[in-house]
Amino acid sequence: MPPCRALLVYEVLIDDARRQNALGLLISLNMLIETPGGFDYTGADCTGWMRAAGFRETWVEHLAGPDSMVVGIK
Amino acid sequence: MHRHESDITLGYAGERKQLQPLFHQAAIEPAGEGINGGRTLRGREPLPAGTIDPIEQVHHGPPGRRHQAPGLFTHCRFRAPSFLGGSSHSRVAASSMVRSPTLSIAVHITVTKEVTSSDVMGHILHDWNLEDKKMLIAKAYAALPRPAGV
Repeated sequence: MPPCRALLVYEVLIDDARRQNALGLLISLNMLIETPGGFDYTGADCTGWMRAAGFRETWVEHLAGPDSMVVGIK
Repeated sequence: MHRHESDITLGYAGERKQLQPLFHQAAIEPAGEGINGGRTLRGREPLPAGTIDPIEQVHHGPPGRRHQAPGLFTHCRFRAPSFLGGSSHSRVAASSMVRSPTLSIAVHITVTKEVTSSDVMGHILHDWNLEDKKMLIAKAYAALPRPAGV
């Protein structure tokens, strides 16, 4: 079996238009309050960071409830 | 193979003696490189007994790299706390802030645990600023094996 080369990031992702997922937006606000610089983000944000890091294939999949995951394949 | 060491940055404002009950036998060492993640402790929740297993004390220094809390800052290294769990989260870190009228403590734990062939970061990246988010993703990328034939 070939070794897995994936990074999975799951999060309460904010929708790309930043208009629908109120929970993600509230979590982002909470992170700004609770941490020195934390914030929640959209799937497009994360796939962009993954691409910049070198991941050749990325996609976003909805999980249960408000959670979605971002997959990056090296 | 995983190394179970953590770098913990403690930032606190207030009397140093107040730190001790919260962090038991806090050992002190400069923070280092590693994969980061997050966990937030609420209120004045003390770290569970036995989770802080100090390695050695090295340094009392000025304010650390992440926090600007007034007062003394301390950099510590501990064994990986058990509350990080044994699965994917054990390779990530704790981020906690404890506040009271007289005491403010900010903690970041960086676990220098090697990432295996795949990595999962769940509810982790949201704890970190943009620079750190990109750093963590880059470290995960570097830790993954190369594609076949490359």
